Amino acid sequence: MSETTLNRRQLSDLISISAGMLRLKSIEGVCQTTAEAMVKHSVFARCVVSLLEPDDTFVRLGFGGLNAKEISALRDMPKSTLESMQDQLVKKFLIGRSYYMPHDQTDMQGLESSKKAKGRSKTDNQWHPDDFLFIPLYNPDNQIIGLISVDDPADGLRPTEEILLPLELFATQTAAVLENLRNVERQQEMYEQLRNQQMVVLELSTPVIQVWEKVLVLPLIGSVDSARAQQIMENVLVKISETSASVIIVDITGVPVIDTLVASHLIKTVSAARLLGTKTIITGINPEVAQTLVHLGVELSEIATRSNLARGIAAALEMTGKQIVDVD
Amino acid sequence: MSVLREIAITTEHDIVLCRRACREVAKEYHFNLVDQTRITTAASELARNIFEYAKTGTVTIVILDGPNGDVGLKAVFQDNGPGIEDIDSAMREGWTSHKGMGLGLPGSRKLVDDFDIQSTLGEGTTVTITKWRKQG
Ligand SMILES: Nc1ncnc2c1ncn2[C@@H]1O[C@H](COP(=O)(O)OP(=O)(O)OP(=O)(O)O)[C@@H](O)[C@H]1O
Ligand SMILES: [Mg+2]
Repeated sequence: MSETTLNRRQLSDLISISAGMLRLKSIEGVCQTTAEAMVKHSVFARCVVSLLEPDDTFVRLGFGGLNAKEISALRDMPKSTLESMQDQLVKKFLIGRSYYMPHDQTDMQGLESSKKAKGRSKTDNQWHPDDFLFIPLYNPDNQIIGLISVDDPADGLRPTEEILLPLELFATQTAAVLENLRNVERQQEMYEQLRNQQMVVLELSTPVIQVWEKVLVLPLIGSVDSARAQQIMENVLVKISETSASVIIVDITGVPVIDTLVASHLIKTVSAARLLGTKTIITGINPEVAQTLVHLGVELSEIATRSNLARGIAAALEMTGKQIVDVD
Repeated sequence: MSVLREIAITTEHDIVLCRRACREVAKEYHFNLVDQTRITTAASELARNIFEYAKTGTVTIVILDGPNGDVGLKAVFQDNGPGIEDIDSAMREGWTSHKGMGLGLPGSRKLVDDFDIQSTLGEGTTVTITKWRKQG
C-alpha cells in the first residue's frame, strides 16, 4: 500500500469518526472517542486527551491504548498547568501545528502519556520513549483549549508534518465539537440564571407591606398569571403568620384585567386568610371592573371592598379599634 | 371586513398579548371604557380556555361594518383541542371539568352581544364573540 492510499484511508476513517462525534452529548465522551480514534488510526499506540479548565489546569479526560491501571495512575498524577507548559509549547518545537519535544531538550513531567515504550537505539530520526508530542486543540480565537498527547509510534520514527497533518485535521474537528458542547453548557447556565432572575422578579413584584401594627397592604400591579397568583397567595399567608395581622388589604388598582383566574385566586386568598383569623379588604375595583365582574357572575359580596386604598386603610384601622381623626 | 390582529396562543403569556390586542383595537375604534373592559375580560377567558384545555390555538380580531354605520369588534378563538362533549353543560354557570369557577364561557356570553360556540369532540372548538359599539 502506497503512502497516499494509506493517508486517504486514514483520513476518511477519521472524518467519519468526527462526524459521529457530533452526536455525542458529553465532553468526556468526545475526549475518549478522540483518544481511541488516534490510537486506532495513527501510528501512535498511546494517547491522552486533556482539556484546559477555567483555572488553567489540564484534566485528562480521554485515554487510548492504556490499561485501567495506567489510566488510574495517570489520573492520580498532579495536574499540569498551562503556565508550566509555556516552556514546552514554543516555536522551536513546532512541526506543522503540533509540538514535538525530543527527550534531551526538555525536562517536563505531568501531562505525558505512559512511559512504558521500550527504549530504542538513539539515532537522529528515531523516536525516544521520553520524547513528547502534543497536538493542541484550539478554539476559534486560536487559544489552546486542550492537548492531545500521543506516544509510542509503531514505526519508531520521529513525527513528520505528513504524518501529523491528518491528525491535526482530526484535532480541529474535535476542538470544534468540544466548543459546541461548551456553548450548549453555557447556554444552559444562562437559561438557569434567567429562570432564577424571573423568580426574584416574581417575588419583588408581590410585596406585602405592613402599614400599621396589625394591618397589611398587598398592592398588586401588572398582569396576574397562574404562577404569580400562586406566589401572591403564599406571600400573603406567610406574612400573615409572621405578623399575626388582623386585616389585609389587597389593592388591585394596578391589575389591568380581573378575570375568573384572578378572581378565583382572590377568593381563595381571602378564605385562606380567614382560616388564619385575618379579614381581607379588596380595594381599587373601578366601576368598569365592578360591572364586568357582575356580568361574569363572580360573587364578591362575601368580601369587604372599598373603592380606593385610602378608604381601605381607614376601614382596616377601624376594624382594629383605631380611628383616623383630623387634628386642629 | 378586515383581519386586524392574529395571535397564536402557545404560552400563558400569549393570553396577555391577546387581551392587550383586544383592548387596543377596542380603544382604537372608540368603544367606551366599560365595553373595552368587557371585551378584554371575555378575551382573557376564552384565550385562557384555549391555553388550558387545547394547549394551542389562534385568536383572530376583525372589525365589522354594520348596516347603519355600526362598528362591531369580532374575535374568533379557534383551537384543534379535545373539543367539548356537552356544550349545554359547559355553558352553565359553575360547571367546570377541572377546578375552575365554571364562569369563563357563560360569563363571556353575558359580556358580549353575540356569542357562538362550535365544538366537535376530538377536532376542536371555535368560539366567536362580537361586541357592537354603542352610539354616543
Ligand atoms: N377550548 C376548549 N376546549 C376544550 N374544552 C373547553 C374549552 N373551553 C372550555 N372547555 C370546557 O368547558 C368547561 C367550562 O369552561 P369555563 O371557561 O366556563 O370554565 P372553567 O374554565 O372550567 O373555569 P373558569 O371559570 O376559571 O374559566 C371547562 O371546564 C372545559 O371542560
Ligand atoms: Mg375557563
